[in-house]
Order: sequence, then structure tokens, then C-alpha cells
Amino acid sequence: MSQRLWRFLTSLKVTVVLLVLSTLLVFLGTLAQVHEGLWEAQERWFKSYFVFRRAGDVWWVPPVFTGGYTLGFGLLINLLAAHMKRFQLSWKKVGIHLTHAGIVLLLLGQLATDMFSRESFMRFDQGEGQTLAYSEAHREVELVVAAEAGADGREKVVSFTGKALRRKLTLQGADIPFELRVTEFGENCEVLSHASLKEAATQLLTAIATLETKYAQLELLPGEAEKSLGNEGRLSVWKEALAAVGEKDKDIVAAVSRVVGDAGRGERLREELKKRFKTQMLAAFQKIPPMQMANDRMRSMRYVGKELSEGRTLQVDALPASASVGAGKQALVVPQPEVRGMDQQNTPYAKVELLQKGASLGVWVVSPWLNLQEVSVDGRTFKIGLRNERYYQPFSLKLLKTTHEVYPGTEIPKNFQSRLLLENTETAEKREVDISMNNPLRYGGLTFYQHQMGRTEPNGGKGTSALQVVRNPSWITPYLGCAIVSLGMLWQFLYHLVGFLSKPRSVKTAPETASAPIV
Amino acid sequence: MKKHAPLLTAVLALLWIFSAWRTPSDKAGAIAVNAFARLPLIAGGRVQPLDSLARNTLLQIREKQTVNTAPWESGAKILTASEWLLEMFFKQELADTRPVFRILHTDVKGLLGLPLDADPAKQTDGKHFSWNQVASKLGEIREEARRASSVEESARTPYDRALLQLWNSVGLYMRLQNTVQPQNAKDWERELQRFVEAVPAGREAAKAQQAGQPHDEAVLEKLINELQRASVMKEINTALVIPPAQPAEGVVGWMRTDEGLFRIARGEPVPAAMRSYATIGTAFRNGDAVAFKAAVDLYKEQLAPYGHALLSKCEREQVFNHLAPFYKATVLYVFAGLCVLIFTLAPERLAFLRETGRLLTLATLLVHSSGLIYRMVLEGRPPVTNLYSSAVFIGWGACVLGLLLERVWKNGIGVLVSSTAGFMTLIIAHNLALSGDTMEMMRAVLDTNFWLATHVVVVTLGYSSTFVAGLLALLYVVLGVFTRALTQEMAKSLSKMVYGIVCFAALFSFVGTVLGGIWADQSWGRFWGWDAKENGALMIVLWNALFLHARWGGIARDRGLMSLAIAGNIVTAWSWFGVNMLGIGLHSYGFMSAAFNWLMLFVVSQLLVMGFAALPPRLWRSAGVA
Repeated sequence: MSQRLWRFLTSLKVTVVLLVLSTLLVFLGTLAQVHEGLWEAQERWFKSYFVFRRAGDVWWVPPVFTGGYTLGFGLLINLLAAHMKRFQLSWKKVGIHLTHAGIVLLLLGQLATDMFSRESFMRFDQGEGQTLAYSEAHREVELVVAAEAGADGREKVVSFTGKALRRKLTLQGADIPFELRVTEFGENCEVLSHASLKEAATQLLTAIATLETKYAQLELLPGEAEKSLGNEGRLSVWKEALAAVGEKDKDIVAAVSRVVGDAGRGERLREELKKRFKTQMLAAFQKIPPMQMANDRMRSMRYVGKELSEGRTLQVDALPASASVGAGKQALVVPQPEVRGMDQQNTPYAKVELLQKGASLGVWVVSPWLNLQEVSVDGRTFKIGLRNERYYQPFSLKLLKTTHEVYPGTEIPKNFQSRLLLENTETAEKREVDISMNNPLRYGGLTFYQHQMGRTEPNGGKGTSALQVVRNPSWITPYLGCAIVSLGMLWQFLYHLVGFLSKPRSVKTAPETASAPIV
Repeated sequence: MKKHAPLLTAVLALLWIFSAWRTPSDKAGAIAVNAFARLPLIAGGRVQPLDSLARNTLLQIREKQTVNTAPWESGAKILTASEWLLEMFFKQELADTRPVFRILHTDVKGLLGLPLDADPAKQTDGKHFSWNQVASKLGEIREEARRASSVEESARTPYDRALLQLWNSVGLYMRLQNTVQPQNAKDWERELQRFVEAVPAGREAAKAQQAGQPHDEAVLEKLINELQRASVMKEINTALVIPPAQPAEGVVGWMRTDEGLFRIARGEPVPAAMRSYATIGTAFRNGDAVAFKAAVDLYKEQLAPYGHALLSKCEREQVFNHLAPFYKATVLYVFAGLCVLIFTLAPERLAFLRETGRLLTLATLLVHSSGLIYRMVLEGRPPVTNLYSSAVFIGWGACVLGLLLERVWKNGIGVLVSSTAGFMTLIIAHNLALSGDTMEMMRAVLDTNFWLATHVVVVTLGYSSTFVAGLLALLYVVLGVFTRALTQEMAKSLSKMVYGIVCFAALFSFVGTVLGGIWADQSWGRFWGWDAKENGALMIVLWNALFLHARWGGIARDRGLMSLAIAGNIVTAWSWFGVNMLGIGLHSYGFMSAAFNWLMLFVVSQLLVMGFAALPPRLWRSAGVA
């Protein structure tokens, strides 16, 4: 039995099967990125043991497939076992051994990277002059409770990870006189401020009221019809409404006058018009141009449009709120489905009940879109909030100058560059550094890359910059692995080539059966 | 004769091509078109001669670098790109009658009310139309283009794409119309002079108006009217034709004609370039060759302070455009391939044809290489900078490999591989060039010659060699199944060739892929990010490894290995073109419908041949396979 297992483990057939599966996996995992986004596809296909088909998947997803870890470990075991079995030290084999050793190193290095590397961002969104001593996670959030600054002048921050929030735990922190019970957590939401909601609701309700007066009486209709003649959108609504009461005349003014003559049909036309124009208006409110997705007012318009079109009522003076205390009193948090696209980002939220000795102090709603909120307990003031997880560094970076050049007469970027002041009190370092594309800063076990650039205001203001911060202790393995594999392959290749070229060969230009017609 | 024919053919071919390697001159007494076309401007962020702008525009709107003035009759006059550009700049009424818009889609022609079919009586070939024929429906085109561009790329209908293509052409055409003078100018030299003279009084009037004092309304209005023309030009985003007043400002200081007009209105001196172009225009309209040459020469002298490099770069690029090495190489590859194909009919009697094919391929490779090197020197870049140049380089690599194979085996196979691969990739390159300037500037993240020279070159050689292996395997199966040419000896040599090339491919694709990872580590902080293009390269590595292990393990025999090598073609084509069309990742060029259809066709054809390879040996016509 064990012999059969050994034969299986060391078999070249298994190698070939694993390579076929790997090629297929890479292919499918690439295709999957179109629908699932890069991050999700990576987790699901490459950083997993098995991929199972889920409801809602695209047609080509197989019921089950081997994941990246299974194939990676499979290849690793197969490779090591085969070498243990067939290892022989000879010049002829040196190349093969080196190649395979390098591949083992690459596979292990990738595994280590998956386990130990961490990506985060340092966003200088206040512009030049801003100093930061921490970077922020891209997705992971933390719940923070900040106490007032103590005698040493530093404020104490207690943070709880997103994991604890997702499990809806009740949280306690040292020197915090209350408990935090997570009652709700969502991966994505949008936060609508009451100010913008009020504006949008007023606008929509007024528009609907105007509609009522415009079509209040039958006599008004022919005049309104005439006014609509120049506007194609309105004209088509008139035509549809007329068609609904059985009029197909192209001259709508004449048609309206005819319909109005008959009180019954006139009333029906009035209702049709009001209904259609209202629908059109509600639809217009719900449509946001993709460029304006981040605009609070636009999203509020969509929200009120949707509420009304789904038959709910809205009162400008009594807008719904998400919490009875804190910032949530003046805002509405609307849960949203999780997004996975390349450029899309989720905004999580949580509802947290503060408890003191079992008694509730109220439910706060927290989200990165809301600022930290003040809470007073026992005469002490705390700030609570949800924000992207922060990783503090023992040194700080200050953004001095941003450079963003394009080629003359085009929008093609030529150079992105941030000049920063690096300050480390521990080592008494204080020096200026430049970070640009293809030219990162490596410092303190971290690497800082130029990620994005912008301005604090659309056309002017100060230059902003975002750096990507990567911690990857095993960054050296691919360099070594690559060198070893290349060396091995080159050795093998040259060894065979030299052997091949030095062998005497009989050269024939014609096939042996040349006398017969061959095509 | 037969003995020397091969060498003679190759030498003649080289003479034919390299005789064009000189600065194009102008006929004495005629308008100095070529001297004019050597003048510099900045388009797409780079310095180039007017000649390049004209050719690239024509390639995009007409799919050719020349203009047939009357394609409905034979023997009509053909304008070179530069001649056409002169008309576009200075004789717009004439230029607007030239049929330069290539429109094939019936519905687009329907939208514009254009004739569908060729009809010499109505002076149309049903494919090419003039600005005058198109411009009356600009509003309709704009509306439809707006709608079509809001449709997701992969969901666009052929009509949508044809329409957007036309919209793009219209934009390019308008850019040329507004490059050196406003498009409705009749006598620009005079109009410019009048404008310059009107400025002082106009400025006085404007100042007075702002101060609330009495002013001459008519004078002010005149100035405002002129500036309105300039504002319209500004919207069109033309090339930069005016060098900065101070040469020290460098390329960043170049400006458009409209910018020059605004500066004049601010009381600054008239840029010399504007005057020069106006004078050149007048001379051209008057047909005065002497004055034309004098004006061009004068402008060149004015450009002297900007450095010799500026003019010499433009001159070299013009020489390159005229030389058209890749176009000529395409033609030569066909002849080389034909020679070897005929040779296989009777290898013993026609041995000289193999030699002709070989030397011709060698000559073509020389042309191909000169083109590559010329481009590299012009751009100051390694050979591969974009999809276009990757096609040129893949063909070059494959051609070298083929000739190496020929050197070892001497049976014509290598020549066939070289010429086929060279021809196909240059055709692909030609089609890629239809989308615009092929020497565009590199975005910041790609702007590193070190990585372009290492990662990109090596990975592209990996593509080349995988394709060569696939091509050899295709030959094996096609010759074996359909002809009796695949003798045992031939089969053996082919399978050895495939093996050798796959070893080569494995090395190059692996090293190239890992170098790409190292570049990514340098630029983004991760060695491997499962980006679509990275994955594509990894698939090639895995596939080559698969081939080698299948061979070493004796798991696949000759026919199986050939199928694997052919499948390598699919994997490589996917990595080269397919992943760019997914619209994801760092190498996304957007969905290219025509390319997608060809890719699908290619995949199907490869699968078909793999199907033939799977036929049992008794159904093969050749007896050489086991």
C-alpha cells in the first residue's frame, strides 16, 4: 500500500495532471475576475483549497475545482518526493535540480507572502504639509473608543477588530466604564445626511405638487399640450397618455381639445398625464450619472425617488434617522449590497449599544462616513467611531511637495512624485525623500509606493498624495528563486545544446522517397 | 545561372528596399512638399514631423497612408499623405472634396444618406466619402455617437462601433482643419495681419469698457469675434505647432495656434511660427513654388535656436516613414515562403529554390531588423513598447529562430516557419497600427527603459518561441495528415525541433514572467498580484512545463506532443491578446471587436488541427508517424 502511495506521489503523470489543472485554474481564475473583482477572485480561486460552485455564478464555473493551495501543495509534494526517489548527483542533472529547487523556493515564498504580507495606504488627503505616522487598511475596519487626553497629553485609543464586530460580540476595554454590544453590522452602506435628504425631499414633493396644479382642471390641458410641443421628452408622454384614452392623432393639441370636450375621457386623460409625468419624475430622481455616485445630494435624490415610487411616504419634518443618539440622529444609514468591482469600495457600518452595568445608554450608529462621535459617561468624554484599521509606525512622514506631470498637449501621465520629510525620533533621523513611480522608499521593514495623486479641490487647492505601504518579510524569495531557476534552466539548455551541436549528423536535404511525388 | 540566382535575388531585394533609405527630395520647380512635411510639431506628447501626423491620421480615417482622389475610376491621381496635409491646412475647400472617410457599414451610410454602392456616374465607389458628404449630417453623427459611447464596449453592435469609428475620424479631421489656422479662414495671412493690427485699439477699448469709460464698441467687437474663433479651435485639441518664444522652455513650452492667438490678443508679439505657416499657406495657394520653398526654409532657420536635434529627429522619422521597412518586409516574406513551398514539390530538382527562400528570408530579416533598430533609435526605447511593437518583435524573434533551425536541419522547414511567422505578425502589426500613432509616449508607470528592455523583451521572446513550436507542430500535422511529405526522417527532425524550441520557450517565458514579477515588486510592492496579464504569462510557463514533463515521462508520444504544442498557440494568443480584452487588470486595452473575432477564429482553427492530430496513424497520408 505504502509503496503504491509512494509511486503515486513520485509519478510524472501526477505532475502532468497537476500542471493541466494549474493552467485551467489560472485561466478560470482570470475569467472570474471579470465578475468577482480581483480581490474576491483571488481569495476564492487562488488562496483556497477547493472552489465550489455558488448560486448566481456564471455558467462556466464547474461544480467543484481544485484551488490554488491544493495545486501548490500538490506540486510541492510531488516535486520533493520525485527528487527523493530519483536524486542523483551528475553534471547532467545539475540543471534540473537547480530549476526544481528554485521552484520550491518560489512556491514557499508565495505561501509566506500570502500569510505574512500586509498592504495598507497612507493617504495625505489634506494636501501638502500634512504629517502622518500611520497607514490605513484598504478594507478592514476597527471600532475605536478614544478617551480624553491624560496627564501625558496623549489620548488613549482602544480599538476592536472587524472580526469582533462581524461576530456581534459584546466588547470591553481597559479603563472604559461601559461595554459595547454590537447589535448590527453591514459590509456596505451609504450614509445620507438629513440636510441633503431634506433638500431632495422638498424638491421632489414640490415638483409633485406643481404637477397637481398644472393638470388640476380640464381647461388647462390644451395650453399645457401646446407648451410641450418643443420638448421631445414631454411630447412623448403626452402621446402615450393620449394613446391610453384612444387618441392617435399626431397633432396633439387638436387631439387634447377633442378629448377635453368629453368630460369622462378628459378626466381619464388628466389622470393618465399626472401618473405618467410623476413616474417620469421619480425615474429622473433615481438616475445618477456614474460620475456623481459619491455626491451626497445625488444619492439622497435617488433615495427619496425610490421611497416614493415604491409607495412609501416621506415627511420633510420627520425624516427617518438611524439612531436615537449621536450623529445617527441627523443621518440615515441605508444598507447596500456588497460591491466587488475593481474600483469600488465598500463602506461598512455598525450599530453599537453602550451598556453601563447592564443599563442601556442608547444605540449609536458608526461608519467611516461619520466622524467620531462624543459620548459622555461618568463625567468623562469618549469618542467612538468606525474607521479603517490603522497601523502605527515609529516614524512619521510629512508631505512636502507633489509633482504631477503630463506629456505636453495630452493627458498621458509622465511623472507622479511625492517629496516627503521622514522623521524618526528613535534614531534621530530627519531627512527628505522622493517617491515616484518605479522608485519606492524602503524603510523600517516597509515599502512605500506612489499610489494616487490628486488635489484638495477639483481645479486647484493643495496637492494630495496616497502611498501604498507594503510589509512583506519574504520579499526576497522570488528574487532568489528566479535566479536559481534561471541558472538551472540555462545550464540544462546549454548542456543539451552543446551536446547536440557537437554531435556529427548526416544532413539530407531530400526525403528518402524523393522519387515519388510527395504532395 | 541557377547557382547564382538565389544570391542575386536576395541582393536585388535588398537594393530595392535600401535604395529608399534617404531623405525624400522634392522635384525642382514643384512645391517642396517633402521639405514642408519635415517640419516639427508635437502631437500625442511627442515631437514628430508633419509627415507622421498626416500618415497616422490617414491610417485611422482611411486605413491607408495615401489618398486616392477618385477611387471610382482607375488611374486616378494618388496624393501622398504630405500632399493631402498641405491641402488640409491651406486649401480646405479642395480638401473637403477628397474622399478620405472610409465608411463600410450600410446603416452608417444610410444615416448619412450616402450612396451604398459604387457608381462611377455619381462619382462614388461606395466606400470612401468626402468631408462635404459627411459634414451635413454632423449633428446626427454626434447624437448617435453619444448614444453608442454610453453602451458598454462589449455590448456595442457592429453599427455602434462603425459609428464611433466615424466620429473619431471626424474629430481627427477637424483637428487637422484647425491646426495652423482657423478652419473657416480664406486668406489667413491677411486675416492674421488684420487681427494683429486690430489688437492695440481693441485692448484700449476693452480697458475703457472695464473702467466704465466710453469706448469704440465696433473695435471691441472685432477683437471678440476673432477670439471666438480661437475659442472654437481650443475645444478641438489640435497638435502643438508653435514653439515657445524662449527655446530654453523645451517641449513643455510648445503651444497650439489658438493659444498663439490669445497671446497676441494679450499684446504679446506674434509667434514667428504663425507668420511662417501663414506665408507658406499663401505661397501654396498661389502655386508659387519658389516663395513656398523660401518660406519653409525661413521657418527652418527660425527653428535653428531650438537645437539641431529637433529638426534631425523629424528628418529621421520622415526617412523611416518613407522607407516603410515593415511593409516591404511583409511582401518579401511572402516571396520567400512561396519559394520554399514550391521547393517541397520536387526537393531534388528545385533545391536552388530552398536556397533562394533562405537567402531571401535572411535579406528580409535584415530589413526587419533595420526597421526595429531604426525605431528603437528614433524612440530612444527598447524594441517593445506597445501591442504594435510586440507584434513586430514576435515576428522578428520567430524569424531568427526559424533561420537557426534551417541552419541545423537544412530542409526548408525553418525558412517556412520564418517567412510564415514574419508575414503573419507583420500583418497583425499593420492592423494594430490602424488605431493611431505607434510611437506613443509611455505612461509614467511604464516609463522605465530597464524593465522594458528586460522583462518585456524576454517575455516577448517567450511568446515568439512558443508560437514557433506551435507552428512546427501545425506543419507536422498538416503535412502528415494531408500529404505524403512527412517521412520518418522528417517527422523525427520536426519533433526534435519542437522539443528544442519548447525548452527555449520555457526558459524565456519563465524568466520573462518572473522579471515582470520583480518589476511589479519594484512598482507596486507585490511580486505576484494575479493580474490578468501576469496570469497569461504564467499559463505559458505552465504549459511549456507541461509539455516537457509529458515528454520526459513518456506520457504523450509524437502526435500527443504535437497537439500540446498547438494548444500552446492558443495559450499564447490568449495571453497576448485575450486578457487585454477582459477589461480588467493593469494591461487592459479595452475590448477590440475585430481582434476578438480573429482570436476566436484562430482558436477554432487550432482546435481543428488538434482534432486531425488525434486521427489514428492509418488515416494519415504520410507513413512517417508512429
